[in-house]
Order: sequence, then C-alpha cells, then structure tokens
Amino acid sequence: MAAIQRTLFARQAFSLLSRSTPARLAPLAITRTAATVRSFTASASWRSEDSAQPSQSPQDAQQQSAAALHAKTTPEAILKKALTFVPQHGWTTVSIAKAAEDMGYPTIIHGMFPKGGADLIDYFLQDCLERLPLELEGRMEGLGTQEKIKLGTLTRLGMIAPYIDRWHEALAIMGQPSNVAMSLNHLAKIVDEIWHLAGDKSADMNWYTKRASLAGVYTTTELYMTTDKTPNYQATQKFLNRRFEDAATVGKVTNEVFQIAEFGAKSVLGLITSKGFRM
Amino acid sequence: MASRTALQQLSRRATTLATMASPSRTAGFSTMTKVLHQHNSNAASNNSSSSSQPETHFGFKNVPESMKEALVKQVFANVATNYDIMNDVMSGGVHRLWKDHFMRTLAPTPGTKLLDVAGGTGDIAMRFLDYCKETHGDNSAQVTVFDINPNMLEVGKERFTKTPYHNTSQVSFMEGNAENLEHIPDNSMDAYTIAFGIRNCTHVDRVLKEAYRVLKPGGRFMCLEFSKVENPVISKVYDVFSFDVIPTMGQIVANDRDSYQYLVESIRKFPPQKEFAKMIKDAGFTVMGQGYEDLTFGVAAIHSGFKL
Repeated sequence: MAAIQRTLFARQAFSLLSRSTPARLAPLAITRTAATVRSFTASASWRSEDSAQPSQSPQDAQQQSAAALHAKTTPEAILKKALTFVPQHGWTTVSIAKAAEDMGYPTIIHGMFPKGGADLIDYFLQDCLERLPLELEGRMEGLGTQEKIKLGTLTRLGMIAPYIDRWHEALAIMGQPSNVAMSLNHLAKIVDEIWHLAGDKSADMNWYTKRASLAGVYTTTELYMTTDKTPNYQATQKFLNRRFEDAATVGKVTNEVFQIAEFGAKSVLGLITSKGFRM
Repeated sequence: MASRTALQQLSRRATTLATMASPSRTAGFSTMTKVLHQHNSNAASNNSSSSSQPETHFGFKNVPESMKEALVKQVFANVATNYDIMNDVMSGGVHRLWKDHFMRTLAPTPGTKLLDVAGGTGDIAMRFLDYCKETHGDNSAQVTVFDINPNMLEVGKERFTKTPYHNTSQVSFMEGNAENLEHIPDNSMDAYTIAFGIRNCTHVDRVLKEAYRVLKPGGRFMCLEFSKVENPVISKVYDVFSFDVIPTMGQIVANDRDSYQYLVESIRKFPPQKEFAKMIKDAGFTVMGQGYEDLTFGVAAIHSGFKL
C-alpha cells in the first residue's frame, strides 16, 4: 500500500514538472523601483532612514562631500570622505579616522562604525548600486539583451577601478564569516539591478537562474580584474566575454541533462506500470 | 584561570579584612541612616515641611533629594579601600571582562582626551592609557579622572603611582559633581566615560546634559552600568544572588552589609536599557542602532551616544 502511495506521489511530482506553468513558480517581487532597491535590508545602523532622498549625479555627490556638520547623514558623509583615503590606507578604520579628522571631528568618532572597514565597503557597494542606473541612462538603447548585460556588468566593474589596488583587501574582508551576509546581499542586489536595467521581465524559474548565472560571471570577473594590468582593462573585457559564452553553454547542457532525466524517470514509471501495479 | 586567582585574592583579603573590621566605617553608615530616620520622623510630625521637599530613591528607600548625595558619599567612603573586592563580589570577577570589553568598544585613537567620570579608583583610566600604548604605541592620550568622592580619588592616585603614567601629563585627577562640571570648558573632550557611577547620581538627566556640553562635536559618550536582565529564568537566579548572596558576602568580606544592600537596590531602581537609551537621546546625543549592548544577559550594559 505504501509503495503505491509513494509512486503516486512521484508521478504527481513529475507531471507537475513537465507541465509547469509560470504562475506556479513566479517569484514574489515582480515590480521593482529604485526606491525598493534602497529600502532592502537597511540593517547597518549608520544608514540614513530617509529613503526619499533625491538621487544625485555622481558629480554633484562628489561636490557635496564633507558637507554640513549637522546633516542627518553625517555618518555617510564621513564614509564618503573616507573613500578618498582608501588608496593610501586601505579599507580600514584608519581611513575612517583620517576622514573624520579631515572633517574636523575627533577620530574617536570611528566608533560609529563598529565593523570598521566592512562598514566602509558596505557604504561603497550601496553607493555603486545607486549610481549604476544613472550611469547607464541612455546607453542601453538599441542593444540586444546579451549586450545590455555585458554593458551593465562592465559599467559596474568600472566603478571599482579607482580602488583597484586595494580591492583584493576588500574582497578578503567581504569573505570573512561576519561579513559574508552583507557581501552576498550586495551581490544579489548587483545582479538583480543589472538584469532589471537590461529589461528582464521573466516571472518564472528563469528569474533565479539568470541572476545566479550572472552572479557567477560577475564574481569571477571581479576577481580577475584585480590582477589585470592591461590598458583600459581589455583583458577583463575578453575574460567577461568568455564567461558569458560559458554561461550559455552551461544553460544548454543543464537543459539537456534535465530532459534526459525526465525521460529516464518516465521510462521507469512505464516499466513499473507494465509489471501490473495499477496507478 | 583569572577567576581562580581572583577568588584566591578574594579569600585572602577576606580573612585579613575580617580580622581588622573597623567599627568606624559601619558606624558612619548607620549614623547616617539614624539621621535619616530622625528626619523622616520629624517630617512625619511636620507634614507641611516634608511635602515641599522633592524626594528621590536611595535604594528602595525614599529620601529627600538634598540628602541623597551625602548618603551616596558615605557609601563610597566606606567601600573605597575595598572597591575591587566589592566589584568582585557583586559580579563574580566578571567586571574586569566587562571593563576590558568596554575599552575595546571605545577603541580610542592616538591623542584622545578622555573624561572618566565616577572613575575614582582608575580602572577605566588605566585601561584607556594601556590600550593607547599597546595598540597604537601612543603616549599622547590624556585622561582626567573625575569623582565626587575624595577617598575614591585617593585610591586611584595611589594606584597610578605604580604605573609608568605617574607624574606625566597623561593622567590628572579632579574632584567634583558629575551634575556640574563647571571647571571643564565646553566642547573640550573627545570622549566621556562613566562606569558603574551613573546610577548613584541624583539627577541623571543633568549628568547627561553636562556630558553633552563638555564633549566636542563628534565626541563619544559611553556608559557602563548594571542593567535589567530580560530573560525570566536568569532574572530569578540573579535576584536571588543580588538580594541574598551579595549583602551577606558584603557582611563577611567588608563587614558592611548596608552599603552592599544599597548598591544592589540602586541597580533595581535604575531605568532599564531602552529607557536609559531614550534619556541619552533626549540629552541631545545621536544614538546608533538601539544605543546599547547587553553584557552577560543584561546584568550590565554599555550605552553609547555621539554628539552630532
């Protein structure tokens, strides 16, 4: 009796898979806006709660650094200033302390950022995320999806360029167990943003597979970029192209493997039925 | 291992203290309470005068505000020489770990000027200077040890004579009331710490306002204090330990049950973590996140705010 129930369940499962409709597996978040991006898990205590801040162009933002002493986002102003000290002092509390000193605060204020360098990296990644749609505005016209993704990824990687000498340190800090949640969160947001800007409207399992494959491409290319000394990061661009080819191949192969597995399972069920077990 | 040596020290000091229990210390405290009872009975007979005097808590008793300072002074005059023992008794030696963590959280940078309030015996001040020396190789950090009680300051001064900071500009001592830091100019301190002192102050809001005044913009206020244990199981154990074990040990170790009784009661009277964090915000400080960190399930808590 139990054996029949088990095979019944298995049969139902396979029939589901072979006739899966998009509605059954649709992800929860379909509509997205820039505000949603900003309001995702703002867990760091120094983050400004004010999600209605008007987005600034990178040039305006740079001019406004080291701004009002009593601004609500003073912690973020300090971190913004700290980025200018990163090439010399790395992603550490020293950069934050030097920035605070530069702005006229006592260096003890670094206590606002208990995770030190990790908070600085967190801020930087958030900043890059907010700048990405602005930098891609108007440049995505008339490109194919693949081209859009490539452009989006390259633009995002280009934002690391000013800190490329210290980026391997940042990757190491991001890899520490206490910071892994933060870095994975940002990775998820990056790939989501790039696909969204490329006009992705998928509402099924593809939503996840597209972002997962891009995450793999992005992380390997980022790591490669830290060792790239060619002018204009040409080697990184070539590397990126090769990775996209790989991803396409993997996608095809996975599909084929799945089809074969489904065929095999149906054959087994047919065999069982032919032996006399009524379904 | 550290706890074992602490315990050994404790038992050694206990035996020496038991043999030289001085009646004058306890007599001082009980004289004070006699005066208090007298005042209360006078007040009972003259209803008009008692109702006009604002009252505050002194442990679980209620006393006129004007008297609390003197009573607290008496408690600490009694315990000054055994302050370490008292802390070890009350926290099982864990207070040393709390203070170490407190200093690591503050993480002072080279050249920081610290005002350590209610820091008479110099525990925090010494850790501060050691941290700067060991972590940054820095000898320019300065600490002002501030306390209302001259006995506590004497103990602190004596402790510092045995350190390399003696007779340097790195440490200075000042006597005064935390509610009125009149000799300290505005916007002059990088950091302000108060460890296990704020619950003894009569007007906590005034202490916070003065802290805000003397700190530079961007300066940090940090407070280490006994706090509320939320977990109901641990809370029960803690209550038994506080009200049954600690005063008894105080009687055995220092022959001063009443001081320990007051100290334990004053912990219960102090506002819990969230409320105190709100008081810090009300004083004008910018508080990051919740504003506090629980230590040992809330037996102690570190509150922090920035002047921004």
